[in-house]
Amino acid sequence: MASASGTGERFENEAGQRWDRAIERTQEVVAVEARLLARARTGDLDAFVQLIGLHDRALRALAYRLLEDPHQMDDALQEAYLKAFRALRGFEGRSAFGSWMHRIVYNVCMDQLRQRSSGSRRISLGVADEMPDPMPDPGEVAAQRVDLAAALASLPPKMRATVLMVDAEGMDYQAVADVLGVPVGTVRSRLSQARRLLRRALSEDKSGHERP
Amino acid sequence: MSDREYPQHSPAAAGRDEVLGKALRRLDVPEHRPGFDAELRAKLSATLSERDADPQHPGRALRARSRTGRARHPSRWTLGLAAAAALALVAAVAVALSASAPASAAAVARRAARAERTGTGLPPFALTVVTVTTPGGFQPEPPPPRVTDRIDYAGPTLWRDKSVVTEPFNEGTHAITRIRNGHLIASIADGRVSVTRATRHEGLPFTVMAWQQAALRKLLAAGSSGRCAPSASLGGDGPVIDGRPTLILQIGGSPCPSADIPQSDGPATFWLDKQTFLVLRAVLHGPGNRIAETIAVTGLRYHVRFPASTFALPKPSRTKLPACRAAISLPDLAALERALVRPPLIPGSLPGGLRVGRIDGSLGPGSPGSAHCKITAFTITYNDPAGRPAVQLYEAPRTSPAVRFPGRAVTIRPGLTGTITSGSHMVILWWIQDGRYCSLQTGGLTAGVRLTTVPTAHLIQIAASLRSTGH
Repeated sequence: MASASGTGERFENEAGQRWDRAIERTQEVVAVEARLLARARTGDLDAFVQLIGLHDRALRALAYRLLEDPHQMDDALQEAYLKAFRALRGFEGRSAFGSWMHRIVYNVCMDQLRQRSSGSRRISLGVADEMPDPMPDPGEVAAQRVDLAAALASLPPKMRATVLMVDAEGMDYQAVADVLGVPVGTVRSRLSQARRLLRRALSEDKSGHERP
Repeated sequence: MSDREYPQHSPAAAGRDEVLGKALRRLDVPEHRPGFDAELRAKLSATLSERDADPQHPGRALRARSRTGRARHPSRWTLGLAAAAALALVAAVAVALSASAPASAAAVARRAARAERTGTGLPPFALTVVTVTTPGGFQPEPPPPRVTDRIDYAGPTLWRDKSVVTEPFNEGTHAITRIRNGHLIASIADGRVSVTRATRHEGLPFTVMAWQQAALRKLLAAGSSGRCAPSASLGGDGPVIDGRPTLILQIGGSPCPSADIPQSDGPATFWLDKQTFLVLRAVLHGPGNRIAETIAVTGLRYHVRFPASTFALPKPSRTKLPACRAAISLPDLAALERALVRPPLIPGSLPGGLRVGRIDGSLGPGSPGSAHCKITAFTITYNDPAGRPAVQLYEAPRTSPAVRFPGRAVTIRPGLTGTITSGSHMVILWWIQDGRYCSLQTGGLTAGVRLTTVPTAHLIQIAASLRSTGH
């Protein structure tokens, strides 16, 4: 049987090796990204497609959670990817490429949300007919109540984006602040509120309480 | 708020955040829609073409855009995009289009739609066009699966269009010839000739060819700037078709899908004659991104000189056909029963406070109409308690080609199975009962009516209660 100190050493060694491997992988990804970026900046379309492929899942998650519609998510991402491709030569590398892409996607989504909300102020009959049924299926509502997705959707979009980028994507506060165009303190504030609201929503769901 | 107000997390709080992060990462993220990558690549290619086509300032179009890497500055974005748009205009003019060619994809779409609809910019020509429509979309009155048109076009008021139409279930073919000579249009079908005065909307063979409505609609939508305008991009030079250089126009899926002409809902690619913008080839996708319609032109010749006899109007047939109206609006269910060839199947109960709204009858697809002008197909629109159209019931003869599209099998009641399909904010249930094709739809747009949504269970409940009223 290994001694306590021996076990501790082995854990430390394994943890250290895992850390080294993670660092190596990260460095590899960064190197691949840098190579693709250099090629994409010369107008290499395939390189650009590969480049955005590295971040596509995270960007899909952000766009989908902000817009809550898969079709609009795709439209927004196409618009954002086109904008990025056109602006690629102006990308100065002050932030990571991923953060830069997050900013473009975030801005496109917020534009769409703004258009959506301004559109709802002058509702025409035709548009009103397309809106979701004000009395959705009760079974569907019950299923959504215990859903983290629904709790997330109940947050304001800016708060949603913050908690997604920090807690789900693991981005640091400064990067998120750059994406959102706000001070780091605002990121902390939004994150704190978002976490609190999410936990409250989820705990109320589990206890069967009605949400307002 | 300053950082001081947010003390360092305790280990317990950090653990909770980690749990929350893991849960957030596990949330489903939708995959891209089918064709997303192809659409994106086409758009990126178009962007590259714009840049490369600017002979004076290669690469300027890209440099002129905003510096997205900095914090967001709306004015910079606006200026950048405006500059880009202006440069794209310059670049596109420099492409091998003619000097007066439109620059943007939307302008190309408008120009093509104008050529198809009004003949603008078209010299005298002759061509054969084959339109193939695949089954699969919801449509109360679908176009026939294959139509071959031979068109001799001398001008907007002098043309001849001979269509060979394949019947929906390949029962056979029939030919319809239309000749326009001045203000008169002669129609020759089944040996009968009728001559009518041309109306304002009945000008060109293209507009008469109902089976090409999906393509025209797609082009018009792409050329518009409304809420329902799909994305459009120029895909650069296409192959030479019938000796004509082509230009590829790619149009994205419709933001406002319609059940009436589903061929125009998905993305589409058009190969346009580079000089005249005539559609030489098109592939239109419908629901599920399946190919819904293809158009192919062969035997195209421009500047053709036709003998005068080509457009000579034949004498009309002497025997008069009964003047049946193709579509009528009916005041109530009793009137519907009287107008039908056979008794309708009517719901015995209506859930959710639905009430009978509008009732429309029509000569069903493939039915020439009986001697008594009885109708064979009808649509009843049911309104919700707020008076908004919510559900439509459509019935037609069993052999009707309407709506044989795949979906999920659902038991309506013991011994009766239907097929349910949902998507694009609409749900459609269809089945065959007592020799009739029946469908119920909620949500979406159909037969020109926009429907609100009721639960799917209500559709099944209505379907299960359908019974014949008897005459």
